Amino acid sequence: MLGKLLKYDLKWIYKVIVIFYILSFVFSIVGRCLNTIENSVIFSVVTKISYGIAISMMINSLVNCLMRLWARFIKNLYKDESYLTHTLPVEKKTIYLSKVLTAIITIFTTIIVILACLFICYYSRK
Amino acid sequence: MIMELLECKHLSKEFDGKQILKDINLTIPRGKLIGLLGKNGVGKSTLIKLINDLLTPTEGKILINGKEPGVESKEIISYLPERTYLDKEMTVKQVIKYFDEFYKNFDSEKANKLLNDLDLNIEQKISKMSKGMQEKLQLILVMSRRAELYILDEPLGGVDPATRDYILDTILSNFCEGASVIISTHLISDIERILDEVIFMDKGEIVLTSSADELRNKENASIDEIFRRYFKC
Repeated sequence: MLGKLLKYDLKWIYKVIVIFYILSFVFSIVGRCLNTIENSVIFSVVTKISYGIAISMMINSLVNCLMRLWARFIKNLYKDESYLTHTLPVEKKTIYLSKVLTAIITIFTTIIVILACLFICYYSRK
Repeated sequence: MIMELLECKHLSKEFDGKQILKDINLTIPRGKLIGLLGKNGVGKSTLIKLINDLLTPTEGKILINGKEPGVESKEIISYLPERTYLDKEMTVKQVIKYFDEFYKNFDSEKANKLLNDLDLNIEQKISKMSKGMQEKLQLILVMSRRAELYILDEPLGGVDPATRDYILDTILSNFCEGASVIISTHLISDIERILDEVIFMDKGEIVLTSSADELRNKENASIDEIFRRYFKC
């Protein structure tokens, strides 16, 4: 039952956050590619804009992750949906464990995505 | 010794110093349609929430098939609360899959058939449905479980008369043989035609328990009229 609860909790969180992940990667890659073109003011400006968007998407990923975790916790356990959650044939501790594991998994993946994007943007052998 | 389906023994519930339920003693047999009747605010929903393990008693105990509310009781009780409790971002198809995954006794074929009869698009999101359609969807999900006890809290509230008839017919034609149904309502005239037994509640106490036919014969009036006389302000 824990697996099923986790599945639905993770799906609910990731269906929005994954968009920010994709945008973070896209703009990191775009910025990095444009950064290789030297001696062009326009490309330099566009590169900085791309990096700026990439960083804001990374911050958005983390903020949205935390907000959606909180929203899911409150909606599922304390609002109208709780009438369904708390009457599922599942132990109460399993329900709460699912929420904790969901938080750990989603925050961990968000941090990994942020680190990967920062690596793409700024890694240099020099 | 035959185990009763549901027993409440000296059940009391207090909230913030206010006594909501007072020494409730109740036995629900198998295979009966029972009306839990009372004015608004007498404790019907509180009693139902206690049975469904959504609240814990201040005193007394509840036994379902001889055991206290928990995972086993939730497997055999199918509960319809008075509010929409589904994730409105889900589609009808997704919510059927959800019920199918969590409840071993959920009959998805029956649910799909009942939804077809309503001409409901299973790809539609619940948030896009009217209130009446959401209520029908919830009822179908609850009645599609092969439960031993169905508990419906105010299933007729806030819907039009035609929908009320649909709800009552769906209840009558879909609950499992041998199962019991508890319907909590204050709309008695709509529901009394289907009831085997009635329980009147007032101010947190059970004031009357009787077979519906016996009560009608004794008082020579409908349950609705008896209720109005009993609870006249």
